[in-house]
Amino acid sequence: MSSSSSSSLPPCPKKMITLKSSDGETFQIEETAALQSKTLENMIDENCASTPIPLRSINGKILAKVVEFCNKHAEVGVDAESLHAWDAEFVNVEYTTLFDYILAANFLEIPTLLDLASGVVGDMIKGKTPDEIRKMFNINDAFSPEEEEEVRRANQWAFE
Amino acid sequence: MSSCHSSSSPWETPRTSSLPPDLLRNILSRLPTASLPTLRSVCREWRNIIEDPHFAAVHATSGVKSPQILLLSGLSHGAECQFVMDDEFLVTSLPRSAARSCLYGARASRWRPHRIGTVRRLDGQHKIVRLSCPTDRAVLTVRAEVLDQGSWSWRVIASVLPSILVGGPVFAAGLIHWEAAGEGGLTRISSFDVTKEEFAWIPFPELRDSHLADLRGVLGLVDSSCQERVDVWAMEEGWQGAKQYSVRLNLPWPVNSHWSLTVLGWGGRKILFKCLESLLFYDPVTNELEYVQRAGDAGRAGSSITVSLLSPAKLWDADKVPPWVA
Repeated sequence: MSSSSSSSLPPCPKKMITLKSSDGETFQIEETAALQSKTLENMIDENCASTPIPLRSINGKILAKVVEFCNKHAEVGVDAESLHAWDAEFVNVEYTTLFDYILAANFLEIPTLLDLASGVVGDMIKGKTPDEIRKMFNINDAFSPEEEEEVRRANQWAFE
Repeated sequence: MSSCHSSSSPWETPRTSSLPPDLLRNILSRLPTASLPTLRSVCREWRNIIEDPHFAAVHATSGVKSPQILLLSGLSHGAECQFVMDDEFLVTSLPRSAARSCLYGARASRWRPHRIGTVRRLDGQHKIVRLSCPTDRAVLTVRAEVLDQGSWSWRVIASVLPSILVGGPVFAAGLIHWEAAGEGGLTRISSFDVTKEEFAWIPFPELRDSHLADLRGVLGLVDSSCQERVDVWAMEEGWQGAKQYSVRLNLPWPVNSHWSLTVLGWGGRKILFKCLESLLFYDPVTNELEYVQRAGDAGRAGSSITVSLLSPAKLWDADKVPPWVA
Protein backbone atom coordinates (compact mmCIF):
# COMPACT_ATOMS: atom_id res chain seq x y z
CA MET A 1 0.00 0.00 0.00
CA SER A 2 1.48 3.38 -0.98
CA SER A 3 1.70 6.16 1.61
CA SER A 4 -0.35 8.54 -0.51
CA SER A 5 -3.40 6.29 -0.55
CA SER A 6 -3.25 5.62 3.18
CA SER A 7 -2.90 9.32 4.00
CA SER A 8 -6.08 10.03 2.08
CA LEU A 9 -8.03 8.01 4.61
CA PRO A 10 -9.09 9.72 7.83
CA PRO A 11 -6.83 8.58 10.70
CA CYS A 12 -8.57 5.92 12.68
CA PRO A 13 -8.75 6.94 16.34
CA LYS A 14 -6.76 4.46 18.41
CA LYS A 15 -8.61 3.06 21.37
CA MET A 16 -6.51 3.53 24.44
CA ILE A 17 -6.90 2.06 27.89
CA THR A 18 -5.26 3.24 31.09
CA LEU A 19 -3.41 1.05 33.58
CA LYS A 20 -2.54 2.17 37.07
CA SER A 21 0.44 0.66 38.90
CA SER A 22 0.67 -0.20 42.61
CA ASP A 23 2.55 3.05 43.23
CA GLY A 24 -0.02 5.18 41.43
CA GLU A 25 1.66 5.70 38.06
CA THR A 26 -0.65 5.57 35.07
CA PHE A 27 0.18 4.13 31.66
CA GLN A 28 -1.65 4.44 28.38
CA ILE A 29 -1.71 1.36 26.18
CA GLU A 30 -3.42 0.78 22.88
CA GLU A 31 -6.24 -1.69 23.09
CA THR A 32 -4.74 -3.82 20.31
CA ALA A 33 -1.51 -4.15 22.32
CA ALA A 34 -3.39 -4.77 25.56
CA LEU A 35 -5.21 -7.72 23.98
CA GLN A 36 -2.09 -9.83 24.48
CA SER A 37 -3.11 -9.95 28.10
CA LYS A 38 -6.01 -12.31 28.65
CA THR A 39 -6.82 -10.51 31.87
CA LEU A 40 -7.09 -7.15 30.10
CA GLU A 41 -8.90 -8.74 27.17
CA ASN A 42 -11.60 -10.00 29.53
CA MET A 43 -11.93 -6.55 31.09
CA ILE A 44 -12.19 -4.95 27.66
CA ASP A 45 -14.80 -7.52 26.63
CA GLU A 46 -16.83 -6.79 29.73
CA ASN A 47 -16.51 -3.03 29.19
CA CYS A 48 -14.60 -2.62 32.42
CA ALA A 49 -11.67 -0.87 30.74
CA SER A 50 -13.14 2.61 30.29
CA THR A 51 -11.71 3.82 33.60
CA PRO A 52 -8.06 3.35 34.73
CA ILE A 53 -7.46 -0.29 35.65
CA PRO A 54 -5.72 -0.58 39.03
CA LEU A 55 -2.97 -3.25 39.07
CA ARG A 56 -2.07 -3.43 42.73
CA SER A 57 0.50 -6.17 42.30
CA ILE A 58 2.65 -4.46 39.68
CA ASN A 59 4.79 -1.42 40.38
CA GLY A 60 5.41 1.39 37.90
CA LYS A 61 8.88 0.28 36.91
CA ILE A 62 7.70 -3.21 35.94
CA LEU A 63 4.43 -2.06 34.41
CA ALA A 64 6.33 0.34 32.13
CA LYS A 65 8.38 -2.62 30.87
CA VAL A 66 5.31 -4.82 30.44
CA VAL A 67 3.59 -2.10 28.41
CA GLU A 68 6.77 -1.75 26.33
CA PHE A 69 6.76 -5.52 25.73
CA CYS A 70 3.12 -5.55 24.66
CA ASN A 71 3.63 -2.59 22.32
CA LYS A 72 6.64 -4.23 20.70
CA HIS A 73 4.82 -7.53 20.25
CA ALA A 74 1.80 -5.75 18.76
CA GLU A 75 3.91 -3.94 16.18
CA VAL A 76 3.12 -4.94 12.62
CA GLY A 77 5.83 -5.99 10.20
CA VAL A 78 8.53 -6.90 12.72
CA ASP A 79 10.45 -9.90 11.42
CA ALA A 80 10.93 -12.84 13.75
CA GLU A 81 14.68 -12.45 13.95
CA SER A 82 14.71 -8.85 15.10
CA LEU A 83 11.89 -9.54 17.56
CA HIS A 84 13.96 -12.40 18.95
CA ALA A 85 16.92 -10.08 19.40
CA TRP A 86 14.68 -7.49 21.05
CA ASP A 87 13.31 -10.14 23.43
CA ALA A 88 16.83 -11.26 24.34
CA GLU A 89 17.72 -7.69 25.23
CA PHE A 90 14.46 -7.25 27.14
CA VAL A 91 15.18 -10.16 29.48
CA ASN A 92 18.85 -9.30 29.92
CA VAL A 93 18.12 -8.13 33.47
CA GLU A 94 18.68 -9.24 37.04
CA TYR A 95 16.82 -12.28 38.29
CA THR A 96 14.67 -10.20 40.65
CA THR A 97 13.36 -8.25 37.65
CA LEU A 98 12.79 -11.52 35.76
CA PHE A 99 10.72 -12.77 38.70
CA ASP A 100 8.72 -9.55 38.58
CA TYR A 101 8.13 -10.06 34.86
CA ILE A 102 6.97 -13.61 35.56
CA LEU A 103 4.62 -12.50 38.33
CA ALA A 104 3.22 -9.68 36.19
CA ALA A 105 2.88 -11.91 33.11
CA ASN A 106 1.10 -14.51 35.23
CA PHE A 107 -1.26 -11.96 36.74
CA LEU A 108 -2.02 -10.30 33.42
CA GLU A 109 -1.95 -13.64 31.60
CA ILE A 110 0.53 -12.76 28.90
CA PRO A 111 1.78 -16.19 27.77
CA THR A 112 4.55 -14.85 25.50
CA LEU A 113 6.14 -12.88 28.33
CA LEU A 114 5.63 -15.68 30.85
CA ASP A 115 7.32 -18.16 28.53
CA LEU A 116 10.15 -15.83 27.69
CA ALA A 117 11.03 -14.92 31.28
CA SER A 118 10.49 -18.46 32.65
CA GLY A 119 12.73 -19.86 29.91
CA VAL A 120 15.50 -17.42 30.83
CA VAL A 121 15.28 -18.35 34.52
CA GLY A 122 15.41 -22.02 33.46
CA ASP A 123 18.54 -21.33 31.44
CA MET A 124 20.10 -19.66 34.49
CA ILE A 125 19.49 -22.84 36.50
CA LYS A 126 20.90 -25.20 33.88
CA GLY A 127 24.34 -26.57 34.63
CA LYS A 128 24.55 -25.04 38.11
CA THR A 129 25.06 -26.88 41.37
CA PRO A 130 22.47 -26.59 44.15
CA ASP A 131 24.91 -24.34 46.03
CA GLU A 132 25.33 -22.00 43.11
CA ILE A 133 21.56 -21.89 42.62
CA ARG A 134 20.94 -21.04 46.27
CA LYS A 135 23.50 -18.25 46.04
CA MET A 136 22.15 -16.98 42.72
CA PHE A 137 18.54 -16.78 43.90
CA ASN A 138 19.34 -15.95 47.51
CA ILE A 139 17.55 -19.05 48.83
CA ASN A 140 17.98 -19.48 52.57
CA ASP A 141 15.78 -22.51 53.00
CA ALA A 142 18.63 -24.96 52.57
CA PHE A 143 18.48 -28.44 54.03
CA SER A 144 20.28 -29.32 57.20
CA PRO A 145 23.35 -31.50 56.53
CA GLU A 146 21.36 -34.48 57.82
CA GLU A 147 18.49 -33.86 55.40
CA GLU A 148 20.89 -33.31 52.52
CA GLU A 149 22.59 -36.61 53.32
CA GLU A 150 19.19 -38.28 53.27
CA VAL A 151 18.37 -36.92 49.80
CA ARG A 152 21.82 -37.94 48.65
CA ARG A 153 21.48 -41.47 49.97
CA ALA A 154 18.07 -41.95 48.47
CA ASN A 155 19.35 -41.04 45.00
CA GLN A 156 22.95 -42.04 45.19
CA TRP A 157 23.33 -42.85 41.53
CA ALA A 158 22.09 -39.45 40.55
CA PHE A 159 24.88 -37.72 42.41
CA GLU A 160 27.76 -39.98 41.43
CA MET B 1 12.28 -18.35 45.52
CA SER B 2 12.56 -19.01 49.19
CA SER B 3 9.62 -20.81 50.65
CA CYS B 4 8.83 -18.13 53.20
CA HIS B 5 5.91 -16.42 51.55
CA SER B 6 3.97 -13.96 53.58
CA SER B 7 0.63 -15.33 54.60
CA SER B 8 -1.25 -12.30 53.28
CA SER B 9 -2.27 -12.08 49.66
CA PRO B 10 0.80 -12.41 47.48
CA TRP B 11 -0.56 -9.79 45.12
CA GLU B 12 -0.74 -6.98 47.66
CA THR B 13 2.93 -6.09 47.47
CA PRO B 14 5.33 -6.87 44.68
CA ARG B 15 7.88 -9.40 45.86
CA THR B 16 11.31 -9.47 44.42
CA SER B 17 12.93 -12.70 45.50
CA SER B 18 10.36 -15.44 45.43
CA LEU B 19 7.87 -17.07 43.11
CA PRO B 20 4.70 -18.99 43.95
CA PRO B 21 4.97 -22.78 43.53
CA ASP B 22 3.00 -22.99 40.29
CA LEU B 23 5.30 -20.50 38.57
CA LEU B 24 8.37 -22.21 39.96
CA ARG B 25 6.97 -25.53 38.73
CA ASN B 26 6.57 -24.01 35.29
CA ILE B 27 10.27 -23.07 35.28
CA LEU B 28 11.51 -26.42 36.59
CA SER B 29 9.41 -28.31 34.07
CA ARG B 30 11.57 -26.79 31.32
CA LEU B 31 14.75 -28.35 32.65
CA PRO B 32 16.30 -31.61 31.43
CA THR B 33 15.27 -34.66 33.43
CA ALA B 34 18.87 -35.49 34.23
CA SER B 35 19.28 -32.31 36.27
CA LEU B 36 16.15 -32.79 38.38
CA PRO B 37 17.41 -35.29 40.97
CA THR B 38 20.25 -32.91 41.81
CA LEU B 39 17.94 -29.90 41.95
CA ARG B 40 15.92 -31.63 44.64
CA SER B 41 18.58 -30.65 47.13
CA VAL B 42 18.35 -26.90 46.45
CA CYS B 43 15.65 -26.40 49.08
CA ARG B 44 12.50 -28.01 50.48
CA GLU B 45 10.21 -26.18 48.11
CA TRP B 46 12.09 -27.36 45.04
CA ARG B 47 12.20 -30.91 46.39
CA ASN B 48 8.47 -30.91 47.04
CA ILE B 49 7.75 -29.70 43.52
CA ILE B 50 10.05 -32.19 41.80
CA GLU B 51 8.81 -35.13 43.86
CA ASP B 52 5.18 -34.34 43.15
CA PRO B 53 3.75 -36.99 40.77
CA HIS B 54 1.86 -34.26 38.92
CA PHE B 55 5.14 -32.57 38.20
CA ALA B 56 6.43 -35.74 36.56
CA ALA B 57 3.32 -35.74 34.39
CA VAL B 58 3.78 -32.13 33.39
CA HIS B 59 7.47 -32.59 32.82
CA ALA B 60 7.06 -35.69 30.71
CA THR B 61 4.59 -34.03 28.39
CA SER B 62 5.90 -30.47 28.37
CA GLY B 63 7.87 -28.91 25.59
CA VAL B 64 11.25 -29.87 26.99
CA LYS B 65 13.32 -30.56 23.93
CA SER B 66 15.80 -33.24 24.85
CA PRO B 67 14.10 -35.83 27.05
CA GLN B 68 10.92 -37.17 25.57
CA ILE B 69 8.70 -40.04 26.42
CA LEU B 70 10.23 -43.14 24.96
CA LEU B 71 8.02 -45.76 26.43
CA LEU B 72 4.82 -45.73 28.31
CA SER B 73 3.38 -48.86 29.74
CA GLY B 74 1.00 -50.20 32.29
CA LEU B 75 -1.69 -47.69 31.42
CA SER B 76 -4.44 -50.22 31.19
CA HIS B 77 -3.94 -51.28 34.77
CA GLY B 78 -4.00 -47.73 35.97
CA ALA B 79 -1.70 -48.48 38.86
CA GLU B 80 1.61 -47.51 37.46
CA CYS B 81 3.00 -45.80 34.43
CA GLN B 82 6.58 -46.00 33.44
CA PHE B 83 8.28 -43.32 31.47
CA VAL B 84 11.57 -43.96 29.79
CA MET B 85 13.25 -40.91 28.41
CA ASP B 86 16.35 -41.00 26.29
CA ASP B 87 19.10 -42.34 28.47
CA GLU B 88 17.28 -41.39 31.60
CA PHE B 89 14.12 -42.71 33.00
CA LEU B 90 11.81 -42.05 35.78
CA VAL B 91 9.42 -44.50 37.30
CA THR B 92 6.30 -42.87 38.44
CA SER B 93 2.69 -43.44 39.24
CA LEU B 94 0.50 -41.08 37.37
CA PRO B 95 -3.13 -40.32 37.80
CA ARG B 96 -4.94 -42.16 35.06
CA SER B 97 -6.47 -38.99 33.75
CA ALA B 98 -3.07 -37.51 33.00
CA ALA B 99 -2.03 -40.46 30.90
CA ARG B 100 -5.41 -40.74 29.28
CA SER B 101 -5.53 -37.16 28.15
CA CYS B 102 -2.17 -37.38 26.46
CA LEU B 103 -2.44 -40.62 24.57
CA TYR B 104 -5.78 -42.24 25.15
CA GLY B 105 -7.95 -39.89 23.18
CA ALA B 106 -11.72 -39.69 23.40
CA ARG B 107 -13.32 -41.70 26.15
CA ALA B 108 -16.50 -42.41 24.30
CA SER B 109 -14.73 -44.09 21.42
CA ARG B 110 -15.71 -47.59 20.36
CA TRP B 111 -12.05 -48.52 20.54
CA ARG B 112 -10.28 -48.95 23.82
CA PRO B 113 -6.54 -48.36 23.52
CA HIS B 114 -4.65 -50.99 25.47
CA ARG B 115 -1.04 -50.78 24.39
CA ILE B 116 1.12 -47.89 23.36
CA GLY B 117 4.66 -48.16 22.06
CA THR B 118 7.04 -45.39 21.24
CA VAL B 119 10.37 -45.20 19.57
CA ARG B 120 12.72 -42.36 18.89
CA ARG B 121 13.91 -42.22 15.33
CA LEU B 122 17.23 -41.00 14.06
CA ASP B 123 15.74 -37.69 12.97
CA GLY B 124 14.79 -36.99 16.58
CA GLN B 125 11.09 -37.54 15.96
CA HIS B 126 9.17 -40.10 17.94
CA LYS B 127 7.08 -42.75 16.38
CA ILE B 128 4.19 -43.73 18.58
CA VAL B 129 2.02 -46.74 17.81
CA ARG B 130 -1.26 -47.31 19.63
CA LEU B 131 -3.11 -50.61 19.73
CA SER B 132 -6.79 -50.68 20.52
CA CYS B 133 -9.44 -53.32 20.83
CA PRO B 134 -13.20 -52.80 20.53
CA THR B 135 -14.98 -51.86 23.73
CA ASP B 136 -17.69 -54.47 23.20
CA ARG B 137 -15.10 -57.28 22.81
CA ALA B 138 -17.52 -59.13 20.56
CA VAL B 139 -14.81 -59.94 18.07
CA LEU B 140 -11.13 -60.36 18.59
CA THR B 141 -9.77 -57.60 16.44
CA VAL B 142 -7.01 -55.18 17.11
CA ARG B 143 -6.60 -51.82 15.54
CA ALA B 144 -3.16 -50.26 15.24
CA GLU B 145 -2.55 -46.59 14.69
CA VAL B 146 0.54 -44.46 14.29
CA LEU B 147 0.62 -40.94 15.67
CA ASP B 148 1.42 -38.28 13.14
CA GLN B 149 3.27 -35.72 15.20
CA GLY B 150 2.81 -32.98 12.66
CA SER B 151 -0.95 -32.93 13.04
CA TRP B 152 -1.19 -34.90 16.31
CA SER B 153 -3.72 -37.19 14.77
CA TRP B 154 -3.77 -40.99 14.62
CA ARG B 155 -3.38 -42.81 11.31
CA VAL B 156 -4.71 -46.36 11.10
CA ILE B 157 -2.25 -48.90 9.69
CA ALA B 158 -3.33 -52.02 7.86
CA SER B 159 -0.99 -54.68 9.19
CA VAL B 160 -2.01 -55.96 12.58
CA LEU B 161 -1.97 -59.35 14.29
CA PRO B 162 -5.20 -60.84 15.61
CA SER B 163 -4.10 -61.18 19.19
CA ILE B 164 -4.43 -59.25 22.40
CA LEU B 165 -1.01 -58.19 23.53
CA VAL B 166 0.13 -58.20 27.10
CA GLY B 167 3.04 -56.62 28.89
CA GLY B 168 4.80 -53.41 28.14
CA PRO B 169 6.32 -52.59 24.79
CA VAL B 170 10.06 -53.14 24.51
CA PHE B 171 12.07 -51.50 21.79
CA ALA B 172 15.07 -53.44 20.53
CA ALA B 173 16.77 -54.04 17.19
CA GLY B 174 14.53 -51.65 15.26
CA LEU B 175 11.33 -53.31 16.41
CA ILE B 176 8.77 -52.65 19.10
CA HIS B 177 7.96 -55.92 20.84
CA TRP B 178 4.96 -56.99 22.83
CA GLU B 179 4.20 -60.25 24.54
CA ALA B 180 1.17 -62.03 23.20
CA ALA B 181 -0.67 -64.95 24.63
CA GLY B 182 0.11 -68.12 22.67
CA GLU B 183 -1.27 -71.63 22.84
CA GLY B 184 -0.91 -73.75 25.97
CA GLY B 185 -0.03 -70.81 28.17
CA LEU B 186 3.14 -70.11 26.26
CA THR B 187 4.17 -66.61 25.41
CA ARG B 188 4.67 -65.36 21.89
CA ILE B 189 6.26 -62.15 20.73
CA SER B 190 4.59 -59.75 18.39
CA SER B 191 6.97 -57.29 16.82
CA PHE B 192 6.26 -54.06 15.03
CA ASP B 193 8.74 -53.00 12.39
CA VAL B 194 9.04 -49.27 12.87
CA THR B 195 10.23 -48.51 9.35
CA LYS B 196 7.85 -50.75 7.43
CA GLU B 197 4.98 -50.24 9.89
CA GLU B 198 4.23 -53.95 9.87
CA PHE B 199 3.60 -56.52 12.56
CA ALA B 200 5.09 -60.02 12.59
CA TRP B 201 5.55 -62.90 15.00
CA ILE B 202 9.07 -63.74 16.05
CA PRO B 203 10.17 -67.11 17.45
CA PHE B 204 10.32 -67.43 21.18
CA PRO B 205 11.85 -70.06 23.46
CA GLU B 206 9.23 -72.11 25.23
CA LEU B 207 8.96 -70.12 28.40
CA ARG B 208 6.12 -69.53 30.79
CA ASP B 209 5.84 -66.64 33.23
CA SER B 210 8.26 -64.53 31.32
CA HIS B 211 8.34 -60.97 30.18
CA LEU B 212 10.35 -58.90 27.74
CA ALA B 213 13.10 -56.52 28.69
CA ASP B 214 15.42 -54.19 26.87
CA LEU B 215 19.02 -55.36 27.22
CA ARG B 216 20.33 -52.08 25.93
CA GLY B 217 19.20 -52.50 22.37
CA VAL B 218 18.88 -56.29 22.35
CA LEU B 219 15.64 -58.03 23.17
CA GLY B 220 15.82 -59.79 26.50
CA LEU B 221 13.49 -62.34 28.06
CA VAL B 222 13.08 -62.56 31.79
CA ASP B 223 11.95 -66.00 32.87
CA SER B 224 10.54 -66.00 36.37
CA SER B 225 8.83 -69.38 36.31
CA CYS B 226 11.10 -70.72 39.03
CA GLN B 227 10.53 -69.67 42.59
CA GLU B 228 14.13 -69.29 43.65
CA ARG B 229 15.73 -67.69 40.63
CA VAL B 230 15.22 -65.50 37.62
CA ASP B 231 16.74 -66.41 34.26
CA VAL B 232 17.49 -63.81 31.67
CA TRP B 233 17.75 -64.70 28.00
CA ALA B 234 19.15 -62.58 25.22
CA MET B 235 17.68 -62.81 21.75
CA GLU B 236 20.61 -62.52 19.40
CA GLU B 237 20.75 -62.15 15.63
CA GLY B 238 18.45 -64.57 13.92
CA TRP B 239 16.33 -64.63 17.08
CA GLN B 240 18.29 -67.38 18.77
CA GLY B 241 17.87 -67.27 22.51
CA ALA B 242 20.86 -67.64 24.82
CA LYS B 243 20.69 -67.67 28.59
CA GLN B 244 22.73 -64.79 29.95
CA TYR B 245 22.05 -64.57 33.66
CA SER B 246 20.67 -66.68 36.38
CA VAL B 247 19.84 -64.49 39.34
CA ARG B 248 19.32 -66.29 42.60
CA LEU B 249 16.65 -64.54 44.61
CA ASN B 250 16.73 -64.81 48.33
CA LEU B 251 13.55 -62.93 48.95
CA PRO B 252 11.10 -63.28 51.79
CA TRP B 253 8.35 -64.11 49.34
CA PRO B 254 8.14 -66.57 46.47
CA VAL B 255 8.52 -65.17 42.98
CA ASN B 256 6.37 -67.40 40.89
CA SER B 257 4.58 -64.99 38.65
CA HIS B 258 5.87 -62.41 36.28
CA TRP B 259 3.19 -60.05 37.46
CA SER B 260 5.11 -59.55 40.66
CA LEU B 261 8.54 -59.19 39.12
CA THR B 262 9.67 -56.82 36.43
CA VAL B 263 13.01 -55.80 35.04
CA LEU B 264 13.03 -52.04 34.96
CA GLY B 265 16.40 -51.39 33.46
CA TRP B 266 19.74 -52.64 32.47
CA GLY B 267 22.79 -50.78 33.61
CA GLY B 268 26.47 -50.81 32.86
CA ARG B 269 26.55 -54.11 34.63
CA LYS B 270 23.64 -54.00 37.01
CA ILE B 271 20.04 -54.95 36.53
CA LEU B 272 17.27 -53.06 38.24
CA PHE B 273 14.38 -55.27 39.30
CA LYS B 274 11.05 -54.33 40.67
CA CYS B 275 9.73 -57.07 42.85
CA LEU B 276 6.31 -56.31 44.26
CA GLU B 277 6.95 -52.86 45.73
CA SER B 278 10.66 -53.32 46.27
CA LEU B 279 13.42 -52.22 43.94
CA LEU B 280 16.57 -54.28 43.75
CA PHE B 281 19.88 -54.04 41.95
CA TYR B 282 21.57 -57.21 40.81
CA ASP B 283 25.27 -57.20 40.10
CA PRO B 284 26.21 -60.28 38.04
CA VAL B 285 29.92 -59.86 38.72
CA THR B 286 29.62 -60.12 42.47
CA ASN B 287 26.31 -61.99 42.27
CA GLU B 288 24.93 -59.59 44.85
CA LEU B 289 21.38 -58.43 45.21
CA GLU B 290 20.97 -55.05 46.80
CA TYR B 291 17.81 -53.26 47.89
CA VAL B 292 17.30 -49.80 46.45
CA GLN B 293 13.98 -49.45 48.13
CA ARG B 294 12.08 -51.91 50.25
CA ALA B 295 8.35 -52.27 50.07
CA GLY B 296 6.75 -49.61 52.23
CA ASP B 297 9.86 -47.44 52.23
CA ALA B 298 8.54 -44.40 50.48
CA GLY B 299 4.91 -43.67 50.86
CA ARG B 300 2.11 -45.72 49.46
CA ALA B 301 2.07 -47.25 46.06
CA GLY B 302 -0.75 -46.36 43.75
CA SER B 303 -1.38 -42.68 44.03
CA SER B 304 2.02 -41.66 45.31
CA ILE B 305 5.33 -41.78 43.57
CA THR B 306 7.22 -45.03 43.78
CA VAL B 307 10.69 -43.86 42.96
CA SER B 308 10.55 -40.17 42.41
CA LEU B 309 13.25 -39.76 39.84
CA LEU B 310 15.85 -42.11 38.61
CA SER B 311 18.66 -40.89 36.49
CA PRO B 312 20.61 -44.02 35.71
CA ALA B 313 22.63 -42.28 33.00
CA LYS B 314 25.72 -42.68 35.13
CA LEU B 315 24.94 -46.23 35.96
CA TRP B 316 23.91 -46.96 32.42
CA ASP B 317 27.32 -46.07 31.08
CA ALA B 318 27.35 -47.93 27.82
CA ASP B 319 30.90 -47.05 26.84
CA LYS B 320 32.68 -48.71 29.71
CA VAL B 321 31.01 -52.07 30.01
CA PRO B 322 29.81 -54.41 27.27
CA PRO B 323 26.02 -54.92 27.02
CA TRP B 324 26.31 -57.82 29.37
CA VAL B 325 29.12 -59.29 31.28
CA ALA B 326 30.36 -62.55 29.80
